[in-house]
Amino acid sequence: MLKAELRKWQKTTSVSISRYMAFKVDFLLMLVAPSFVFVAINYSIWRSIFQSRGGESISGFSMDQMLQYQCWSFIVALLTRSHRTWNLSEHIRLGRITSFLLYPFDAWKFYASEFVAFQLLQFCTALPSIIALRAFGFLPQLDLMACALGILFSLLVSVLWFVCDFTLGLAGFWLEEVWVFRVIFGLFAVLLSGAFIPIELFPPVLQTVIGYTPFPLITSVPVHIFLGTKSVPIGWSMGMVCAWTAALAVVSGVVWRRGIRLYTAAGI
Amino acid sequence: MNAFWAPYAAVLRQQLNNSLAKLMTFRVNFVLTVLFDIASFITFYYTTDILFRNISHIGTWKREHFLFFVFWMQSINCVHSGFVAPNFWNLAMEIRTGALDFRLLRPLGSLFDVFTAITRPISFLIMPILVWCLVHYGICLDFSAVSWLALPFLWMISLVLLMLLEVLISMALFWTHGGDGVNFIRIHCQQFQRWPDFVYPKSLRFIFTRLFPLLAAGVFPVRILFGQGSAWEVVFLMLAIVVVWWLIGRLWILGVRRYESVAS
Repeated sequence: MLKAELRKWQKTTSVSISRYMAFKVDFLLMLVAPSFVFVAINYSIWRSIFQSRGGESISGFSMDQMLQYQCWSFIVALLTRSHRTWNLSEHIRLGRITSFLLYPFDAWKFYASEFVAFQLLQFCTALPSIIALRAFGFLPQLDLMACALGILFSLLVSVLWFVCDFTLGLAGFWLEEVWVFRVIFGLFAVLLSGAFIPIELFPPVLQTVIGYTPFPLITSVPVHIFLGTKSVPIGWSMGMVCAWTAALAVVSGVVWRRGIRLYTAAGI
Repeated sequence: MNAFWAPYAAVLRQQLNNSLAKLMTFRVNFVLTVLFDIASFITFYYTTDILFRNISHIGTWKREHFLFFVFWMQSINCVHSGFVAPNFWNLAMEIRTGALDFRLLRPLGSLFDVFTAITRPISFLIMPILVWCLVHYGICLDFSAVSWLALPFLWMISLVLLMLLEVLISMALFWTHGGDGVNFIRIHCQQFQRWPDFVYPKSLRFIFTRLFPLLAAGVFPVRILFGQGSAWEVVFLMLAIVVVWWLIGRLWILGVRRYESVAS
């Protein structure tokens, strides 16, 4: 039984990988774009800011520390933010999820397999990126333990991101377009997770408020794990990621059950 | 001349009417799109604000210079989102599915039809706030009378060149399958433009101001308003518009020749 289930996952994942790789230029552009943005924007801006201050530190961050923070932020973004359920709402609207209701493989499993496939590719991109960043001197000597922990934590966060994305996509049962939710969430996630400006630079009140949300878990915490910051409570943070993921999974289950009652598709 | 433009104006008017009718039918989408514009406004403002709580200047620009630039780019993006932006994804889909055939057959300039097929006039709702912000920071920066007079003209140059550059990038859709990669590159280019040229290394600055004027289109006009630019930069931007327009025309013809319809 378990073997048959695993086989379905493996087949769907493998088909997804083939599909992603089918359009090679397209795939390469999707890989190159984030790297270009990182090198061209985040790194350049922070370097320029520090240079215009004559290298003086900002809220305890020296220039080297900030540039390393930005490097790890880029790696974390590669490992966590997948957006593999971007077509879920379209599938709902156009009635394409009908097939999932008939297949012996649930819709969420299909999307989860697509997510696993994309994560495998992203993982294969992230590892050479780390090696390249180290080789070109952007990162100091790597602490392998911190790297392993950081990757593990980022992969956990990617599941949280996927569940969140999936839940937002389910709004397609009620709305014609749901890209707005996803983009708004993305905009706030980049700002409030410390992806560009570390949370330590935020006003103290905002830091406290953000502390009660899952946003720091998305970028700030994994980046500090990669950096080897001693004060990060790794166990507690992992527990929080699991708790948020479980809570969102429950919400997504409820939303799916309610949505599927409303679902109608042409041809049924 | 009027006889030439009249059908285009009529089609554009009809497209806007259709979009408005659609917006009024799906009211939640209407509200969500407004929320999206407000969210973009808030996040861009706070990114700059938080940054400048920790530093006093970047290069020669202070907080007010940066915020003026942020809202300059936001206001351009607002018009861009209203008219052109939704059509890039649509073009990718039409090339993929063969639906482009129907546009090529219409008795209308195909480029016009492709890039005005979908309009989202709801984006203009936030425009008054952006204009207010531009005026507010313009006053903070003590703009001269000449700067105020030149502002609409320079804004139009920025808008036209940035739109044309994105259309130029989208011509690559004819040479790639799928189209997502090209559209992601285009979106990342927008992030790239949101910062002034001087924050980038010299090599990037040269490429994206002189060879492919992605940065120049946004930053040159603003620098002139700040009294930091020179008149040749405006001439350069106008020349760039002509060159990019010509390139789009050439690439469109080459692209359509390469296009193999799936449908017919």
